[in-house]
Amino acid sequence: MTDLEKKVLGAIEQRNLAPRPYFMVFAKRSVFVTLAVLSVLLGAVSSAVLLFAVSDYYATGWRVLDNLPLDEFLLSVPVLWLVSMPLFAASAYLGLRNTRRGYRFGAGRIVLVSLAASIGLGLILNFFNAGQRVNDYLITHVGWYRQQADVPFAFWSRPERGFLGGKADLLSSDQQLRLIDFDLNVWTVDISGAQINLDNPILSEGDVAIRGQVTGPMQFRADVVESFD
Amino acid sequence: MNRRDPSGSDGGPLVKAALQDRQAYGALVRRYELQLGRYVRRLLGRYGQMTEDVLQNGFIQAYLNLNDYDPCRPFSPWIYRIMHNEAVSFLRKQRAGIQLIDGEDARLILERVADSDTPENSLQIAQRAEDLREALAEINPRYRDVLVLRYLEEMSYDEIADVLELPPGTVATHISRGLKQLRTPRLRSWVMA
Repeated sequence: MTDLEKKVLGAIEQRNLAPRPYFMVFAKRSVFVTLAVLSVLLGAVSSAVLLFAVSDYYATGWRVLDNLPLDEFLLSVPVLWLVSMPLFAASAYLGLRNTRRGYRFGAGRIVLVSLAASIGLGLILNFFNAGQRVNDYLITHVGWYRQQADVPFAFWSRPERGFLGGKADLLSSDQQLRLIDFDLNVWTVDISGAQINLDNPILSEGDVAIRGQVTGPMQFRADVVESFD
Repeated sequence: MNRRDPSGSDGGPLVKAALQDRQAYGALVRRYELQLGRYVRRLLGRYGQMTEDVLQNGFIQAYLNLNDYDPCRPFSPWIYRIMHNEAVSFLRKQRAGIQLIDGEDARLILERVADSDTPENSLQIAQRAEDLREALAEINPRYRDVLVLRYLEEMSYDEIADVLELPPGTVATHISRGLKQLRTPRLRSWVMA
């Protein structure tokens, strides 16, 4: 028996030390693995909502992707989810980096793989409408999210109840406005007696929200015209 | 790793035995004492007289964490990592900066990194070893660590990755950059690119 061997065994004996039980080691490892898996899953939900938000915006707002202005694109993406994706990727990185073999993978690779996994899973979740469900839930229950993400297309797509929204397309000299609603129907709106609450000329406003009433097939008389935001 | 572990096998079965019987851990200590002692002494530099204390603490830490060892992986890098961390932690407590390696180790590294076509004699080698020793003290500590493990401990990139907890690609980069930093004007013709 060498001197060091004697000292080490003596210290172990004297302090009555024992190896940490396997369940403790397993629990410690599991924390990081769980964190990584959760991060990827939450990232997947984020990307599902992101995909839904973008597709919903263009589906209801008739934007043409080919002519996409960047500001409109950014406005269409709920800020919360845009911020959360990199956060989840970073947290997946930390989780994986601290697993037993995680150090063998570079930071870039871990972030890319977790982002790819999140986006891939998000595509699958979006296929099953999970993005829409989460979006609807948050809009119903979280005020801040509602402010950021809820574009009230449905609300202003009820002309029979007096709410008509859409793009101000053409204005004739007799105050007849041609409006293309969110379902791409073309309306003729009489705004001659309407109160116009707009900062800009109506045609440069883009989307407008009109209160009034239906006067005939695709005919509407406006009481109030406001900007749609 | 064969130079350090002539039997070619690793400590896995000994770990299993040590988990059952405290005394069996002694066999593990005995088996790795020399090579780890040499490594820790290299890391401690002028604090070399503390090697045994650092080793003792390291072996106790290893014993406490035996269940954390992955039996699918070689044992040596795992215990090296514990000793490396123990030595680094000791030096940090001492607020010690970079430690110079000794002349013999510098000569060993020089032999292993030298361009074989370079003409040499014992006087030149001794002078260049001293230059290398100084150059090693100047380079980034991250590069110095990988160079010591590569050229003194003769570890593979994979093993170094396990000891320093780095991706193997990063180890390769650090070795290449370390060698580049060693190619000072006086060593340029000696250290291969």
